[in-house]
Amino acid sequence: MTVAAGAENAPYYLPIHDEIEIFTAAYESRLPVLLKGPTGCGKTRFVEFMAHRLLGSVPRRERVPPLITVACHEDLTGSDLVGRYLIQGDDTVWIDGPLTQAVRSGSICYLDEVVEARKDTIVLIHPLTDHRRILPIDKRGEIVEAHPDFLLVISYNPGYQSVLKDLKHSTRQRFVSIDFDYPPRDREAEIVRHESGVDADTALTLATLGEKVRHLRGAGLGEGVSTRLLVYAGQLIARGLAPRRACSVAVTNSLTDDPEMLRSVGELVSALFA
Amino acid sequence: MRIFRGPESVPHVSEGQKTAAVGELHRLAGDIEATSPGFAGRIRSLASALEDALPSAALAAFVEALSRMVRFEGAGRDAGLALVALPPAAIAALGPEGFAAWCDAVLRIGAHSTRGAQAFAVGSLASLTRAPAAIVHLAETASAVALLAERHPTDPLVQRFASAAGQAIETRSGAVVGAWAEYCEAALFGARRSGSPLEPLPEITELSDEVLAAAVDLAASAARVDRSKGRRVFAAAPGALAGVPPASRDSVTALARLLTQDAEALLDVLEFAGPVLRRLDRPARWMVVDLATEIAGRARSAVPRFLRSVLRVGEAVGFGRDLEAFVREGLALAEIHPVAAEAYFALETRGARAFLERHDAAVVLEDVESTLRGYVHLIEGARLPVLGVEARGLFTPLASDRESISVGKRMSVFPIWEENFTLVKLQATLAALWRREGAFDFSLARWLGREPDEKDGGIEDFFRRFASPEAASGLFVHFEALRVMPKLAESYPGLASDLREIRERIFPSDRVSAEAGPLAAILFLALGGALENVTFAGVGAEDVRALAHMARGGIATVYDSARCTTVFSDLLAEGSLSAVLDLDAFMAEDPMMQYLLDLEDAESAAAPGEPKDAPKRPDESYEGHGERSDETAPGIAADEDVLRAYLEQNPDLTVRRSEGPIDPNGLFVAGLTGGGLDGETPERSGASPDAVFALARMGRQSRGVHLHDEWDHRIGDYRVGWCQVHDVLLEGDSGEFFTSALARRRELLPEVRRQFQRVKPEGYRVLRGLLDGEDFDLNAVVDARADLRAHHNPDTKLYTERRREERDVATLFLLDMSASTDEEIEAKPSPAADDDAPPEVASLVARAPKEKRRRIIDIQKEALVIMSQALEELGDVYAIYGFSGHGRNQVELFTVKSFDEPLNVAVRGRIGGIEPQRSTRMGAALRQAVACFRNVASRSKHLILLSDGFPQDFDYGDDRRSNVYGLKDTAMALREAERGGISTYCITVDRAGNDYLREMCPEKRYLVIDEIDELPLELPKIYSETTRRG
Repeated sequence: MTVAAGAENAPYYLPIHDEIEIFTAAYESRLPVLLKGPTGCGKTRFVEFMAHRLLGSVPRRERVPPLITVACHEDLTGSDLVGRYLIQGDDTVWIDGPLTQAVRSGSICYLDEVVEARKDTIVLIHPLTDHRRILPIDKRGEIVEAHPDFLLVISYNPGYQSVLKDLKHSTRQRFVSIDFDYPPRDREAEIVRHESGVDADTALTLATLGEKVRHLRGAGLGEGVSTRLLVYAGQLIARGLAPRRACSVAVTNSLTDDPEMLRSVGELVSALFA
Repeated sequence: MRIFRGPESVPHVSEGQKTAAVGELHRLAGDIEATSPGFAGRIRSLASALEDALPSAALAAFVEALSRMVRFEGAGRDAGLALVALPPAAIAALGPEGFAAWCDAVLRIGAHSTRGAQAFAVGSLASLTRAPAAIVHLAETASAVALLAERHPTDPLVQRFASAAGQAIETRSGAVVGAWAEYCEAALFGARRSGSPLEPLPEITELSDEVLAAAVDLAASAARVDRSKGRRVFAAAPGALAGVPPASRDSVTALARLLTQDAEALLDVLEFAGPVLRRLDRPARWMVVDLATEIAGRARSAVPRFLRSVLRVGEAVGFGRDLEAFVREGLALAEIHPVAAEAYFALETRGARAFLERHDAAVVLEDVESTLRGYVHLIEGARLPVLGVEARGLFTPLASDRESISVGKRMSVFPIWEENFTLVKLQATLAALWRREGAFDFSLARWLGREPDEKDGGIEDFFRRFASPEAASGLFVHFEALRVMPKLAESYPGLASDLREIRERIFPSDRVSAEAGPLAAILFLALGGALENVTFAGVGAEDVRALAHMARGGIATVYDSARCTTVFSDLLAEGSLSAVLDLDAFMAEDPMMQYLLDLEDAESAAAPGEPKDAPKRPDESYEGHGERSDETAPGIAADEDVLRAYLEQNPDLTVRRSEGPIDPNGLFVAGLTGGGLDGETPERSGASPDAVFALARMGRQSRGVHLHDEWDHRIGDYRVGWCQVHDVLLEGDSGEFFTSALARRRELLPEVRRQFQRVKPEGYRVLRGLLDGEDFDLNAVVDARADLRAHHNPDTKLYTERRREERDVATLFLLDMSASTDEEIEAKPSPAADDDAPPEVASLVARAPKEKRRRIIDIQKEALVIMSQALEELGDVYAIYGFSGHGRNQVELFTVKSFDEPLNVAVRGRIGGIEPQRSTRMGAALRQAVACFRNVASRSKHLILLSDGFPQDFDYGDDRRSNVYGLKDTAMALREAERGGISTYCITVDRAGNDYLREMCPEKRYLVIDEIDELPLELPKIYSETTRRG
């Protein structure tokens, strides 16, 4: 459930716009941040990068990492975030949830795809996101005041979430919003090259593939291909897989199940890769 | 004294013989003086005239004949008069043998019929005088007539036939007349109504006597089975055989002879044999006729269908082993059921289509269009229409504007499908690249060095400046391909590497030698060949090299391509290019190079004095092409080109006979009549939603046509694209039916609501055994405590939680709107007529006209009213469709309420507008209804079919009275729905429904309602039952 950014090695992140400046400024004012953008465009990596940059050098208490990430899903409840009583031996003991851990230890808590979570979790984060910066734990009758370093970051993908699962305005308006999108081709090529270890030409072709596949955004292909998938394809190629095959398994087949679309994208792949 | 030059064989005869002959004439005149003095006088005057005019041998023969005729009781008069009327020249020409044979013939007939003999004598004498050589046919003809006369001595037709037969010997042999006599006997004699006209022998000079006799013989055989059909065969067969290439006429006749029991098949075969065989080269013709003969032996009725589809099949699989395999597969089906073979050979079944697909190397745009559209969208980022055009060689002409991508309609240049697809993909990619690389920016004014103005011409105007615009346009696309090829290789290295494979098909070892000439070099470079692998030579070579160099440097423009086009068009017009290009050497190596011949053809077309569009008689051009292909390209690969050439050059071929049901799969016929693919039947293109055909009937507008396969249990396969389902929006009333029905059945609503309360989830469901939750699960807690005491590890899942339950059901009600629902039901006091009804309701009810006469459909509509009202409260997604139709091409699916429509005024009105229509083709309607679920995301999907009887349509299976076909098809459609995750339920108000529903529907998924009036109450019950798990 939690992913930590190692203190030693800074995660790789290639800024596209001014997102680093915005995030830094928001953090300095302890303003909660909302990252908007399609899947696999680098939101999570960005948070990891920022956590490392802002908190990496701060001494950590109880070995709690500077970033605690929670991937939200539709069965995620408030208790999953806050904590619960568990039976240990003859006793019940309270175990802090990831959010409580972050609040206490002053980490950045990143709730990925927050609209997926059940409604009660959203209410839970409200008092943390305004001037109060508190987390009430009703099961223990406790109110935890947030550590000064604590920051709540949530992400949200406006593309594929249905109308039913939109973020409420009362929630949305508590955050500084940073828009993310897939990087332009040369930047993306650089990212793919760095992350996968393929040569620059292949990376550029992969980025071209990404750019062209994104032509179909909204025309049957939801969001187009993510940078992450391109990196995967690059990694497979770097491991010696034939490029067409690598793109087929890492890109084409992952994008859609529509046979026509599969064939069209397959033809694009075979036009781009020898 | 000899005035007339007689035959050389006539010997000099003495004066004495002559005198004897004249004396004989006078004696004859004396004999008949008493009975006919006029005739006697004519003989006397003739005697003196002939004495001087004729050599004595001829005179003697004439006198002999005349005396035999005069002596011939009764019949002699007319024959004698005809003889007397003969001019001396004719008598001399006929000679002694002629008169002898003629007399024998006449007397032979005369033995049975004097009138026949007379008629024959007059007719044949006229023929003989015109064509003395016809004497050889006399005996055989006469015996045929005599045979007829012997069998039908009293029939007046004999006389007419004898006369016609006498005339026929001028051109036709006795064998033909013999066959004709048999035909006449079978078709005309002994008919209850006499007086049917005697059909003359068709005058088709190019048919030999043997073929004509065989054709007439076919008619005779057919007439023995069925007179009227025999007459149709007689009228059609000779002309049809004349259309068959001469060498194949015998084998086609032999084939036809196998079909005489089935005249319809025979007529079809005769009709199609010519057009089909003319399009084939010689070996293919043999093969097709052989295969057809083989089919005729085992499934007669399948032969015409085979002939109709064989061109398409051959085009797909070639005229070789695969075609044989195709026929074998069909014959194996014939063992199961003749209908199966018929459907298979007509390419109506999925099995046949699958065979073609397995063996077809051609890329048909129809099949790959959506892939290509997606591909172009991907590479260009814009949605551009992909249009099919006729390719010129390997490339398609430049599209008329930049807003579309043109690719070949059907490419079968290479023997492997993938290679053909690479070619089509290349065409699409080039078309996309041309948009960016300035191919459409050509300005004629700029080319001519003028200032561009408003009337500036484009590339088409440029082409028009050439003697052959087609050749110029063809050259231009090659140069344009060559020009953008470096860009293509840079942007799409994968495609460039695929091109190498198809290039090597044409240029082994991926090189072009100097001998191949510049055209080959152009093609090589246009297919992405490396400049280094080309050895340039010949006129124009330098221009090509310069263009390739500039293209590589990225500085070539559309004007450079135009310049090269000019250079090579001039070379073509001069005729100096064909010498440079050694086509024969290429052809020998690879038949694929055939297409370069097209360029050469274009050249010859451009030459003056040989207009390309000169009208040709179809027969001539067929034969011409057929021969040429035989000589120049022995390989099979050229056949398809020849075939296509035929089809293109002969748009005037139409099908003359269209009796009986029109067969949509006579596709090659459609191709012929419409001149290519544009004329394809609507069924074929109907798959696209754009194809909207107005329904003339009742002013309803069809909003789209959908094609559905149909299951034929006899052939054990689907008939492909068999039904056209028209999507029709129902016209509704203004909602009065809905309101009145609701009022009439208002007492039901609370009951239905109660029903639905039970269906509706309580909102929450308790989950037990959770690690964490709202409350303790006491049982688990007790267990855990006990475990602890017993020093066991306790289970930690001690909590319960309430989870919200969501109902996610989508249901489609499919209503049978067949004519039978018009049936009245027994009148029953309507509950709404109660006195305690509120006045406004009562007035509504009173106004409802349906109240007087309540039909099955009214009850069904009421049920739908209750259902929709209740469903609105329940919140389930639902749709209502009705279906009816007439025939497989006119199945109608009426939209009453689609899934995404709310229950608004229009929908209420449409429920009221439901009225009985025509037939019940359930399978097609079900398949279309299933298609309506496509965009429905609900977890549980249901289809409830409301009907009043078994599936039925006038062409739902061969036998109208049997409903097995319809039942099996409907059962299959229901099974398809179940496979697609849609649960089905059939309700029928037909009391006999138990029997067939059991056969048709999945177990426990049907209900027969005895009392139709209960439907409005039963329907919600069934609904809540079936959807409860949702």
